[in-house]
Amino acid sequence: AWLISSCDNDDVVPKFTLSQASEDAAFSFSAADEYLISSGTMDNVAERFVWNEVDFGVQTEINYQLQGSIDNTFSAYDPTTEYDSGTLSVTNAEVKVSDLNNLATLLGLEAGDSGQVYFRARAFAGSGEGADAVDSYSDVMTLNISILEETSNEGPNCPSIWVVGAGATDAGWGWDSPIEFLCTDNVYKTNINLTNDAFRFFLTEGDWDSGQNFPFYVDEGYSIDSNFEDALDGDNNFKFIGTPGKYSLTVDTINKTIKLSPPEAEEPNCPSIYVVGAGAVDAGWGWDTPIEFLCTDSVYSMNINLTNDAFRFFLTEGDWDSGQNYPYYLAEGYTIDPLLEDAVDGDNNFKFNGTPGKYLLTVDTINKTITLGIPRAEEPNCDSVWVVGAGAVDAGWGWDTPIEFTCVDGVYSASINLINDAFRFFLTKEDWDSGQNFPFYIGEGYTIDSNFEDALDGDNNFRFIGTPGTYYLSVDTVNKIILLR
Amino acid sequence: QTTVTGNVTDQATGGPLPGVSIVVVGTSTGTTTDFDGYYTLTVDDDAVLQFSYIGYKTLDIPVTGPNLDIVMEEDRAQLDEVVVIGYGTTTVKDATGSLTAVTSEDFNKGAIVSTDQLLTGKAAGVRITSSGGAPDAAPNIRIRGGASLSANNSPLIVIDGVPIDNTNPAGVNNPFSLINPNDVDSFSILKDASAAAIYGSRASNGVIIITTKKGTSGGPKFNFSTNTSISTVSSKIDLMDGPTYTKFINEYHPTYSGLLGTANTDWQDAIYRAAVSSDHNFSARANLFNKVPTRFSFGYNNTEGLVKTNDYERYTASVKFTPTFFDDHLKIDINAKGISSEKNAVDEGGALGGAVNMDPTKPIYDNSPGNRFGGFYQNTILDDVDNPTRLLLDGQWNPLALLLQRTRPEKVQKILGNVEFDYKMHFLPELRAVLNLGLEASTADIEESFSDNSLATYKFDSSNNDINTNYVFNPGVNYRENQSITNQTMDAYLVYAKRYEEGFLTNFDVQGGYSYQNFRNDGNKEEYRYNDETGIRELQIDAQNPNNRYFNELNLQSFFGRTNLNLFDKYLVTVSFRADGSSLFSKDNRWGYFPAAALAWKVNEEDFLKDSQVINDLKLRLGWGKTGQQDITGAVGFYPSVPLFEAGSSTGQYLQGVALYSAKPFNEDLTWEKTTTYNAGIDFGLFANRLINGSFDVFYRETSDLLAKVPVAPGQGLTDSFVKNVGETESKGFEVILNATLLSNESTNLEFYSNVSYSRAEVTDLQDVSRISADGSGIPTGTGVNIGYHTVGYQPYSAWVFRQLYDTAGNPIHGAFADFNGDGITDNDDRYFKSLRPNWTFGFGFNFNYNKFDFSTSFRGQIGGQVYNSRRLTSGWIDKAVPNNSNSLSNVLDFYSGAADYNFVDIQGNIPFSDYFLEDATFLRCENIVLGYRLDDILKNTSMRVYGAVNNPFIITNYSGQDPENFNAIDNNFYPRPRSFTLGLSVDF
Amino acid sequence: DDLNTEPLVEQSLDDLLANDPDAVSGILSRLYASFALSGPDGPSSGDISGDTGESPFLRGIINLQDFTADGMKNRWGDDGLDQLTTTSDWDENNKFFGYMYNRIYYTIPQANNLLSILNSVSIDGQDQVVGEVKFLRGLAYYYLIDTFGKGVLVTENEIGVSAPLPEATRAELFTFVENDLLEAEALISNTKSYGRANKAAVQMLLAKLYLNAEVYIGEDRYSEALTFIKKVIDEGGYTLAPDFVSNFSGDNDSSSEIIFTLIADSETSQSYGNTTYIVNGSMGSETMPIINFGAAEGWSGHRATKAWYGLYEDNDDRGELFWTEGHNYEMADYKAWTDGYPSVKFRNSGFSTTLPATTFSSTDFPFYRLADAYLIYAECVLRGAAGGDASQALNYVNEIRQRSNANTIGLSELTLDFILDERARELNLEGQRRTDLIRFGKFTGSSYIWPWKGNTAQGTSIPDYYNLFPIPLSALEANPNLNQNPGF
Ligand SMILES: [Ca+2]
Ligand SMILES: [Ca+2]
Repeated sequence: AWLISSCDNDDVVPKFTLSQASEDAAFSFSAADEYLISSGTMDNVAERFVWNEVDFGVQTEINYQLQGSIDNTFSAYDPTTEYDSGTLSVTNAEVKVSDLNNLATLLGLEAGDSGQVYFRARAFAGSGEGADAVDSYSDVMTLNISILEETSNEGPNCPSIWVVGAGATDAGWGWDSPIEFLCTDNVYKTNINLTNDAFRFFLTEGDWDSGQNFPFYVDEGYSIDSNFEDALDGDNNFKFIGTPGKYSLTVDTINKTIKLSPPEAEEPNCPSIYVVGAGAVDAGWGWDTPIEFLCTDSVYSMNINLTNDAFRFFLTEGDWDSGQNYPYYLAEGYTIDPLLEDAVDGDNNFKFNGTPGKYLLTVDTINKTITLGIPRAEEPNCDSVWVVGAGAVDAGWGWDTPIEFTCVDGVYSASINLINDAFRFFLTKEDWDSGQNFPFYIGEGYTIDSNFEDALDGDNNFRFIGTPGTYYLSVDTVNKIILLR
Repeated sequence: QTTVTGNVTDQATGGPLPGVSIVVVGTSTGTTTDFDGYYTLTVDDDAVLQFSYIGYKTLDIPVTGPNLDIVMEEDRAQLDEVVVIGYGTTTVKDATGSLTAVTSEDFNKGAIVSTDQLLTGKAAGVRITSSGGAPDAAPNIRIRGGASLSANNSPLIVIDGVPIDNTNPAGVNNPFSLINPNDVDSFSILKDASAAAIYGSRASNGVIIITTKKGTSGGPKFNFSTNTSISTVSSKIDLMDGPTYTKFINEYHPTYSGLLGTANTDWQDAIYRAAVSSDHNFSARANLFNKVPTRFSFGYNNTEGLVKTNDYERYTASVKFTPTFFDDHLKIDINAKGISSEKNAVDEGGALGGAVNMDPTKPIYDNSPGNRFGGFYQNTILDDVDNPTRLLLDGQWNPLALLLQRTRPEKVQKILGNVEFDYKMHFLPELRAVLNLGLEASTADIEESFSDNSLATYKFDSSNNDINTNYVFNPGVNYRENQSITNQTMDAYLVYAKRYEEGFLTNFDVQGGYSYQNFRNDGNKEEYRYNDETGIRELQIDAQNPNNRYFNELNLQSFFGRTNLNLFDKYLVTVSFRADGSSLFSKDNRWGYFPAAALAWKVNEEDFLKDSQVINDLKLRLGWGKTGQQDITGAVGFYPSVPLFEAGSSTGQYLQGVALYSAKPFNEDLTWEKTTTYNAGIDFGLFANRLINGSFDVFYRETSDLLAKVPVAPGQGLTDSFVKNVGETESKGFEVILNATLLSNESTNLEFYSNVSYSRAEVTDLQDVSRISADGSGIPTGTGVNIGYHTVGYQPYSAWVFRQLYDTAGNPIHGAFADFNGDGITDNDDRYFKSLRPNWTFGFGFNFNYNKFDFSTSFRGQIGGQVYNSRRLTSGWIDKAVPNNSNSLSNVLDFYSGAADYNFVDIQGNIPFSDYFLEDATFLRCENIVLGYRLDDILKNTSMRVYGAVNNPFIITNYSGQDPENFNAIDNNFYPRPRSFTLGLSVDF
Repeated sequence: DDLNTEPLVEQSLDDLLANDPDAVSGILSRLYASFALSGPDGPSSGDISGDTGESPFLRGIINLQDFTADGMKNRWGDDGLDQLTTTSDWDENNKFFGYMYNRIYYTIPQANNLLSILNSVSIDGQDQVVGEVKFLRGLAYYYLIDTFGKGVLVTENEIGVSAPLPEATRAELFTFVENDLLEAEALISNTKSYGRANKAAVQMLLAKLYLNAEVYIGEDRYSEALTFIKKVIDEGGYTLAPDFVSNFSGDNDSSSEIIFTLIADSETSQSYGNTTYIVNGSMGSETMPIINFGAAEGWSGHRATKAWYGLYEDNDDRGELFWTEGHNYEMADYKAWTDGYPSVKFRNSGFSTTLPATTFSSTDFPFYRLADAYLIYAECVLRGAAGGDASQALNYVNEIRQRSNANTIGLSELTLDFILDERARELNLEGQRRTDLIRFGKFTGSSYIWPWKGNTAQGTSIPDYYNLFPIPLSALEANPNLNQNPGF
């Protein structure tokens, strides 16, 4: 018997030969009519491609690859620059908006353009490499893509235009200091100080011949803000007829509008001034800890602790000679808050005569006002909210360990460990009635991170659909954004 | 009627044969030779005389004249032949164990450098695989497949009673090259435990006893033999030549076309040569003072390896005295052999691998004036293209330069001697005392040096940024090693043997004794390094061990006893016992005990067969015994059971101001590996004169407490892999020997001999684990990547591989494997085991004599077994050709001729584990073809034989690589076996 | 009795202690050396199986922490290493996982052995040595926790136990290492001794353990991380080296910033797996003047990707430490030497001294340095650790940036994302990156992709189970109590 048993089990393996696929890969879904690409949705899934399993007639590991190209023949398909899912063991793959955008860029598409990109699925046995690779391709699927135009603040990507004219007070007629309008996605926008006088747009800096006047835009079909009119001077310039001051002026060449809106916040763009003096308790007389007044668009504004004593403004830190006192501002035509008066000391400093405390002190050099106001919030100045739910693994459904979102200036944030399950925000701890669900925030006009969706459970909770892990989640009630980082 | 006179002499010694019986065939007339071998007989004119003499071949000679001198030849197959066994001798007739004797007439002939080559293919169950064709290539000898996993699997070698060391002298790969093959008289191979157990400790893998030729008791006789041979490479690797390679690069890697040259160099031809070798021997036999039979021999061998500069030269001298004293009561056997050999070792990997990789479009020589490397072409690269400061070596080094620019003579002087006193007590002749004192001593000297302009010594002076002058060469000595080995053997035993004329007990003997062996290996090395600042080579001093000394000592001591009983001259019983101690094990685990017993039944002595004309001989044998194994020095050194620290070398220091010490791994639980063997055998001789004879043996063997290098459970040892007594294997098999005299008359003789053996082992238990990776099965994708595993339920040394998938055209699909368990993933669960070693081996041959011509040929081969064709792996993929870390190309196998498959773009991940690379290693090799002619009496008392031989003339195999005969079954950088043509001459006078 | 053979070259413990009064320091030296060298007999000797060059600890750390991450790629196409570089096809057969695993489990029992020796002898400064050994053992375990996530827990009490030990969870290993290191911190002194660990090194390791506790055991331990990193900063006595690159030059043994170093010496501490691997591997004669960086040979292996060098502003000195000439910004083919920029941050040349070009590097590896501590401080503060100070955090970050002429930042810019990027700018190729990316949740999935992540040129998602490496086959085979990590 042992002779028979000595027959080896080594060679019981039959010869395996792969045949052509009995059935090629085929997509089992329909493409949408159009896929929109916008900068805000780059991380969103644009499409989930699904196809069938392929059988090469032998029991072996089959892998797949989703290929995306700008060429419908795929003859020059380049996985290093075009879309390549990599090797997949499953029969589906998600394509993100950013992937489509990458193809759009290869196509040379710009904002507002549309085009077509192509996808196909490949099934293969083995590595898929080598001259005789055994593989199978699906039919090519065409996707129509369009790039949305948007006012993004991503920076200029089109040539600037310029404004010159007496109506643009910082420019005046002349090329010394024209106002440059930066262009993003064919939208021109900048803050501009306007007075009731004329100005004109120019395509080229320093070139009077490149001007574009009021009738030009009318002829182009623009709708022009009602604060402007044709100056009906020899050049048919624009004339500003609204309240003089700072505005945000937008020339949208896509939607063909010229609009005024409140000025946008800007970073400090003018030199600081400093307050020193016994009246400014945190400063005192001396240069150790002067109060720096940052400047934005010629407006200085800071929280300051004031007591009933004297202080003075200085243009240069450490330079006593750069002081500007109460009479100076009066002489410059400033309207000065009644809580401030001339100290009538040797230096004619300012003196605070109100209730000592923290105030917002503003020196507006445009409108020539010095005002005291309610101090700007600095500390947590809003109540916490709480998150509870299975999606927040450290909390779970229950009030033992809710996640507290602390609030600063209307922004609630916390570090949170998320898994793919549901949760909800609560205004009050241990109060199930204080919950705020997904539709609530949608209704409030919030932009919600694409990693969340409506759980569509009975409570319409939030549901996390991203990669489980620890994130920093913030709810910005000012800008109405729920953001995951 | 006529009167015939004549003289009968011994063919081997030339001496007269007294007492030869001479009978006229068909009558009862006859006579015997006198003391000087002479006879006289009156017979009819057409009579045929039959000459017979115990131990010699019977001859039937027709009367042709008044003078008829007869030379008689010893008959080795005779049952009374004395066979050497451990601590004594027996006869074939009375042997109880499985043993095979191979004597000089059976030896392989032709270009023979080392003693093992005499035996290759000749003995059933003995597989001898040389590691390649180098003159000193190591033989791997396995009797019945070997029993161990990591311990030594080689049989114990005993030369003239001295068990020799398993450790070779430095620079020696083949211990058998240190014995002159011309001095060897016979081999005895003890295969089963009952035969081998008397050698206990070291006999697990069988024993090969080598006995050298003796002196004569007759008149002086001399022999001079000489031969010269020329050897060529029998098969080269199928690489691309220059034009094909240019086509290949242009087709597959066009961006690298600029790196191609214009030459057409066959780099294999560049490193190989037609090698000329010669062998000269002189021997004299005499009976000195009529008292001391003496043999003296001197030999000189000069062998050129196929790879250039691989030269081997050997002088041997031996002397043997076998005097007897006190009325034969005291026999003394004195042996001394002296060997001096010198080999120029070559960097086989560098030369053989280099010849494969080197771009064939590059020339061998470069005689441009700027050449720095002694006129050898070498690819170089500038260290900085824009502002070069150094010209660096790049890519494959010129393999011919590697050979010619280095010398590495490895010299060994060795003496092997013993004195055996065998004293038969005067007061009790049945009692003998035997004392054997042996000494094996050798010195080895290695000195590696380079010639000027050697690539290997090309360095830079960092104080000089002038590219034209800032390089230095360092001719001279680069490495030295000296070693001395001293092994002492002492055996002492008493034998009591008694023969009874009456009763059931025909005879009986009992013996007991003690054996001591000590092996000491002491050496030191001189190592050099290159100074980074000056580029000059300087001696590297290791503060902790200034001479880089190594010292290894192994001590073995044993007590043994044996008894033989012969009942009714039909039933033979042997019982033996041995206790062994080894210094490799700690005190508590040191001793192993090895009993054995055997029974034999001489069936032909039974009445019902005594007169059979068909069945001449029939003996049944049964044996059982235990043997042991302790030699793990190759895996873990000489002190594996005790905790020791080694000091760091000069380049392996760390914290400043203290010498670094590293705790070495050890295993205090190590003990003997034990093998139990069961053997059943039958010896038979059929028809008159045993026209057909042979034997059949079946064995079953279990090995337990296997010494195997296994992965250490993480954290539970001082390294990740160490030897442990783990698990069990069992093996079984059989051997058949069949010899036949096909034709025999006065002028013509044709004999056929053959052996076939089958053995199959299986791992049955590995304790905590189910498989361990097998040493020696490394595939060249990186150090330590083994394809072979010892796995429970499978044969040891089986390849663990994926099943390659093929397309309908039969081409392998890159990376596609059978998913056996159907989970859609290719992983280790889908690998299967395929045994690498063959189960079947065989050998056969013919001897044909016609008048004075002799013709013989021998064949051997294996059925089954696998070879991993790693040349296909390392040189059979498309991207192998493109430079990595260099700007030079590498040659690849010829994709156009089908030597490799162009689907292989890379060899990553699972690909090296594909069974695509395993190929059937079945082969039939013609070992030699010899044609000789004898000239008798060219001078008075002088005879001469001239012969021509071809060794390795052809091989029949399906293997696509160079040579399927590969012990480790991994075909990589293989030194090809030569095909040799020999002309030789042997003169007896 | 001749059966008791005695070695003449190797020594027993008793002989060693009798012959060399510094024997224990010599054994300790080998324990430190395990992190940099392949074996005690120079670069061709190996403590563990396999290729000696590939097996040292540091080479494993670089391979597993940097090449798997965004900033560094290797081009050799070596089987195993390629799979690390492309974060694809990881399996239990990959020898590089085996090297790391075996090196960890070489170091631990060697440490256990020394601890048991220390139990039986008495030497000067015994506590100090015990503290160092516990630190080194803890460091080995730390990498086990970080890379494989589990293993067996073996201490000096398990010496001689041959039955396979049970599997220990990540949390069990964490607790053990935590306690052991707290013990070591108490025992070890604050003295700086070249190449050896002191209190600050132990505190640094503790801080790293706590910093990653969220990943390792799901617990917020940032406050403890902050506690220990403050001790490093406030009590360690280290200062930022004035010049960034001096920390990575051949004479960096004199740096004031390095808290724990792995010694390299081109003559006495040679290894293919210490900084030699980083320097020679990043050098290639095809495009670079390698002699200028003190390298006698270049292996043309490692290049950075734009995920690293794309992070610098123009004036940041650290952004200059790439060889760009002859190289492409994009890594279209990771196997092409000229795609991507080699990093020349590490070099053999001296910063303030002249050193010859060498084959083996003399540049020590700055295992822990103060800049890392500063960034850990800032990160802990941002992660809400108690006891931190935001403006201090900002100061620390700006100190690091100012040293390299990068623009200082304001508090509003100091976010966790900024920290992750700053850690890349400051610490890439120092064996930290994979751990950092995992801690920030950016290693797996698609929230962050980099060139060749998931084996596509532009990068693609990889599965979450890649946050751990597979347990090597050899370990599973040697101890049946070990189970493979999920997913593999
Ligand atoms: Ca499978
Ligand atoms: Ca150093």
